[in-house]
Amino acid sequence: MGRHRPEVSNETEMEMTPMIDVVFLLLIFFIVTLKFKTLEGKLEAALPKDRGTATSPAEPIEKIEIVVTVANPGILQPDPKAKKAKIYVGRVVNYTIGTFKTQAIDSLREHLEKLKRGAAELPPVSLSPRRNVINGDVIPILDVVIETGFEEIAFTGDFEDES
Amino acid sequence: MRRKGRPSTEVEVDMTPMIDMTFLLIIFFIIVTDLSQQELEELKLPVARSAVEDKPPEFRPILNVLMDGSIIIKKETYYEPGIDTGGRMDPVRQGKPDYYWKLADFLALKIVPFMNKEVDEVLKMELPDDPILIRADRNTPFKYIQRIMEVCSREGIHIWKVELAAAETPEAKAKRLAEQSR
Repeated sequence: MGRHRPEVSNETEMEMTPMIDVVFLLLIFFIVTLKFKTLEGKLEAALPKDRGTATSPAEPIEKIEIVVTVANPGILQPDPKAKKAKIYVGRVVNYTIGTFKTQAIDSLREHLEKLKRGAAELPPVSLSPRRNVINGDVIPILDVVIETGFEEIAFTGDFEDES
Repeated sequence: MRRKGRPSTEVEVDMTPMIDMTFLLIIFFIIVTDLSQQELEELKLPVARSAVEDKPPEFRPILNVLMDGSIIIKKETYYEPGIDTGGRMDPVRQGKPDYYWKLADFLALKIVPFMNKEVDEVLKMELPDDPILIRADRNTPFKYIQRIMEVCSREGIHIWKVELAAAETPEAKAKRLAEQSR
């Protein structure tokens, strides 16, 4: 009987199960850690260069100082527009430049535009946030100042003590 | 010799397409997962219209500031309320404990030595020319950000370029998405 010579089996049966396990684990890891890139922007500002351990002498240059004070802190409540975020409801902030005082960001913008038109040279602007002012109060002001076209922006003011 | 046995009911499943798909998915997720996002804590940024898109420079620390003032850099806390000062005194505020020693040490030893420097004509001094990014929650009291700025101006640090992170306005976002889909 012409029986075929049995072929030498080169094929080794590969055990797939552990590989598939690992691959699935990796897949699940990447799905879980996935956080889509959120687009974030930045606002640039500068600090006084010469401030060391000693306070610097008053600068002779005419500058615009915006003093920010809190008129009504508002109540911290969950933000209906964003999950896991809180927002101050009914918050009112005063903006003061010299004798000019307002609570509306738009009239601050108008005033800054007027100041810019009236100045021969672009004056530096300093922001002076006072007690209880939060980041969310300062950024809109910085925004308006940058939009109006001022270039030199610095932060000053009394640095509050630990409370 | 054939063994007389049970009829084979086992159906051979071809795994290859599934494995192909799974690998493709993995590769997709590896590409999409941006590891640089690991530095960003989850917080709500204030919105600003004039915010410029942030193209992060190679070497720039990101200081996350939470609502209670805690400072987190690359998942490590450098300041939190009630931090142990270990008897250190604030170099600027006379007679006050130095709550920001850990941040100051980090900036002075790990950041400033690697920053580009430029000589300031007026001060006749070499100052760091690179920025830091302060990424603070919108409800963070601004005094905490001012304290960071104060630390930046300390002896041996002298960082004067600060960037404040802001989110885009809803209108800007809608506009950008409309432009992308076009």
